Amino acid sequence: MTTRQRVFGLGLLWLAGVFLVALISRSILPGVTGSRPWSYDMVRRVTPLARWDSGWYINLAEAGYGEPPTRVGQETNHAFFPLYPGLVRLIVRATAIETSLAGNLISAAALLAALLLFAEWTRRHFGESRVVPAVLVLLLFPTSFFFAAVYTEALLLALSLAAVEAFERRRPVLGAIAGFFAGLTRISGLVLAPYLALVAHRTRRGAGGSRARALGDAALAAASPLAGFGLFCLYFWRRFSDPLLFLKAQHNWSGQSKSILDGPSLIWQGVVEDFQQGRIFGDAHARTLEGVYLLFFLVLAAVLLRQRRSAEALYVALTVAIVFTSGTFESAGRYVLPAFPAFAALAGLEKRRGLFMSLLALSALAQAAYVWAFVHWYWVG
Amino acid sequence: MRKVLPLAAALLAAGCHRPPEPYGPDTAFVPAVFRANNPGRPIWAPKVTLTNTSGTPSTVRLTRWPPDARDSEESIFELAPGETRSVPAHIPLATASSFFFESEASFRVRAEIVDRRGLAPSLAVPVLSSVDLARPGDCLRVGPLVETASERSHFCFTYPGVERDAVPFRVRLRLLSPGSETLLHESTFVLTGLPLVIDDPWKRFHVAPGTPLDVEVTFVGSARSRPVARGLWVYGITSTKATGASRFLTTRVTRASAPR
Repeated sequence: MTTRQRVFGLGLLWLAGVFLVALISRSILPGVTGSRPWSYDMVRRVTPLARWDSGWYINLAEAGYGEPPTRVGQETNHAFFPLYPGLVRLIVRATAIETSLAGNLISAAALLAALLLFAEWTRRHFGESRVVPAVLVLLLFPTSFFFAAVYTEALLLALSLAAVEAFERRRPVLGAIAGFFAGLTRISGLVLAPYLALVAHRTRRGAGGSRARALGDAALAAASPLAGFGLFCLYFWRRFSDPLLFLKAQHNWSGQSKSILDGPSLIWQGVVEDFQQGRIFGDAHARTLEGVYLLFFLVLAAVLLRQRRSAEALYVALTVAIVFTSGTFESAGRYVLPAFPAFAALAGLEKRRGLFMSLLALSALAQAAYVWAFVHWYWVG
Repeated sequence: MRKVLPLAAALLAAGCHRPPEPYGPDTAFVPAVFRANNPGRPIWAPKVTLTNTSGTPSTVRLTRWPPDARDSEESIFELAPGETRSVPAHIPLATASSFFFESEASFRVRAEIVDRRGLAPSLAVPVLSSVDLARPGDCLRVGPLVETASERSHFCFTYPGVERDAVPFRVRLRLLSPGSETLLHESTFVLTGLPLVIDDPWKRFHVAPGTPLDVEVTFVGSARSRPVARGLWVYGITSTKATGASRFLTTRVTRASAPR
């Protein structure tokens, strides 16, 4: 069995496992459940791996963008990027399957593609022996179940890896196309721009290309996710006369007027208050955990930097940094998932086999707990 | 990859939707079923009766949409010839619901919404057949909706619960001045998967408050590309503020094949 086949098999096995846990979770403590913000018909029809923000993607796939918000605190679907719901819509229009199931299928297909690309990327950067451990770390990370849910994480991961792989193989047009689509998938696609630029420059120079040619590749690479994002803004500008409507819609969630510049200070205030009021292990334990994920990925960025993988370190650090513009730690454990170089770095623990396997087992258990909580309408990111 | 594609195709094919099987040719649709228990307001409760009008024992299936619990979504009534039975509500509080009855044999349904305190007059609910409902392409018109010192109207999109696998529906809405046909508002949107009450159409669709209007709804189809089992209905209600008395407005259907 080749490494590719093993990786693909692991992906299929993991997908089956996550769906099985999700299905079983429904009958484990069925009475213990968080508040369901969805209407009866939605709760009735969706798959168990469609909760919370999945509803916005389902709504976008079925109804498209609606009327823009008219007041702070009004939640609308403009906060969400169009590519993933657009693909869901295509599948639903073609097959009439349940919309959330179409979302799960797209996520699953994107994850399988992402795993093959990740395996190839890891083999080239860390060697063959790192591939399977890195894939296991990626799959068994506590919040990785979002790769199977009706969320954009798997698609963004696949497109980011496709873009990086293409530029590293000196196929800039293919890389630019993947980067463009990443920019249409979610805001995190934007942090891909500097990473792709560094990768393209590094690759061209490494192959003996001229400085000018390398800079040209870098410019194309950086422009591709920005162009995808720009197209999204252009659409909002033409349709709603507000190119940054998604930002307004995102910030509306908090119920207070703010901008991305307020994000870091709001997070700092939240952390200080949690400490002062002794909530970090109490009422705010979920937020504390999200903060731990961010710190952990910053540490992994430092590890990558120490290994002289500066472009990868920057990408991981920027993926963490983007959380700070949101003004909240909520969902941080999910936002870090596209930072794939961090998982490859973390898999370096495989040299201590006992510790590595124990951590994987603990992480898998944590992921199962996350799935149960998600299925039962508890906010887990 | 070649091994995976047939598997994916099989999965998709297995997931493809088929319309639900009808329970019987005789149908009755109660578009408005409502109960409310707000302090200081009428205690509204639906009063629905079902009569077997055939000469033989029969079974009637009721689909509530939405019900108060998943178990209440469907009920089967077994009726002796001529027997009349009261239909338990089992719908959530303060939520517009609908009842859809189906049977092999003929039956009759009477429906009204009553104030249990007897302060407001009862509202007789028109009982429709599934053939009355709008099919994709058909146009429904209801009105005039008014908002005056003495009266106030609202309208509601509704459908039988057997549409639960086809909803949400996409509609094109036009608000028109009665008589002059002046267009006040036009939009195309997707409804929620439940009956949708537009309590204040003037505010919702940015029309000058108090402007009398007719609601014209063209049923586009399922937003999930699924076959529509029975159809869509729109009703309007005008209430007298002083007495709480309400009446249904006339809803007219123009079939897609008919000239507009």
